[in-house]
Amino acid sequence: MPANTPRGYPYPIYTDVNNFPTQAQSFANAVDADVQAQVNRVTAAMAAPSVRLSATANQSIAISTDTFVTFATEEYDNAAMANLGVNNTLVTIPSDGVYLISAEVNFVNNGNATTNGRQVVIFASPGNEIAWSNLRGTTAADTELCVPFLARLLTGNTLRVRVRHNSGAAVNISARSFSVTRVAD
Amino acid sequence: MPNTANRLYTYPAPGDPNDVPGDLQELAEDIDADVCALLNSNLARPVARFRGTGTFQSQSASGIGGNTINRLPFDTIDFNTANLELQDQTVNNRLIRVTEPGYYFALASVQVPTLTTAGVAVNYLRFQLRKGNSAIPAALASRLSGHSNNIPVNADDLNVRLLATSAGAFFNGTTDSFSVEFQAVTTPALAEYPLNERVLTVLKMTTS
Repeated sequence: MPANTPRGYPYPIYTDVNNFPTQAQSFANAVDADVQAQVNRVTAAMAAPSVRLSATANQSIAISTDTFVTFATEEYDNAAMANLGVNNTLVTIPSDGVYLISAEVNFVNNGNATTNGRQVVIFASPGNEIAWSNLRGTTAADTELCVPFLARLLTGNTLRVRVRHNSGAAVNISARSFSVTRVAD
Repeated sequence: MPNTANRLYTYPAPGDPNDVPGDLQELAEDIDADVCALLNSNLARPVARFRGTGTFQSQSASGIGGNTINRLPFDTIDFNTANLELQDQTVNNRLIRVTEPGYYFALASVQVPTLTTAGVAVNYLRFQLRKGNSAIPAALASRLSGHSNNIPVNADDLNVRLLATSAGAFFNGTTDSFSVEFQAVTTPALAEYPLNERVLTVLKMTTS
């Protein structure tokens, strides 16, 4: 019976029947499979599940109301993480891992003297708000907020972008995007 | 001599002349060359970081909106295994071209100091990451993400605020380029707004 190295490469021991071609073939095939597995792993890592969603049309946000941001364009999606025809607010995580997330929203100025705050939240489900950014709004110019975050997520978890404001009148959001990419196991 | 299915390592067939040392050497050399080639290839995720060092007088008096004169220049490449290309850094160019297709994640930042010019009010600060076209560098770059508001930098920021924004996006590997843009709007209009260091860090996430 041949022995094996810790990585599973077989080699003959002294009591084995002398059959070098077969033993060499077994060894070569074991190394082949092991090296190929490592190559496949590197290749998979270089095809990280990634998505970018965006939209530019105005979405009206009512006063003091948590509202999920809608997206219109799937600019990139190599792992079926979004399906805007079914749900235009949602990204679904395709495999366990650590994900780099960036949500950003442009709040259009509404001219209202009561500017108060603007908020962008990355919302994970199951779970809750995992990251957010708050900033005072402006009366006569747009406010852009961007939230980058790293999160360990599981297959099937979902991510959304949620916004809120407490201006004196409804606020439109215009250009916005949502980027999610897997960076580690 | 047959070969293995994936890596094409050679091994003796039962009918081959009996040459254990020669066969073993050939197999060992095949494996050695293959493993060396793999290790010599870039197994780590390609990354790059560009910095614009020292102060820079941003031409900030134009109206609000994307404008090629708002692009920030970079002069230092800290590391660049992603093979990004620093383009002409004169005004209206200032792009960083992506030479290989894929989805890239980028984080950009700029240090914005308090404006010390007497009698000038800062009405708006806008910082954006955009995607430009190296074949038409003077064309307006499309917005990827931004960080903007009307709060002037002051002592509450310890006199320097770091504006940062990030985004992931696909780049075509030919003309798509990063553009990092800053704009300040002041009353009265001010031709220049001084900035400190700016940084663009990029991770390559996919190869297509």
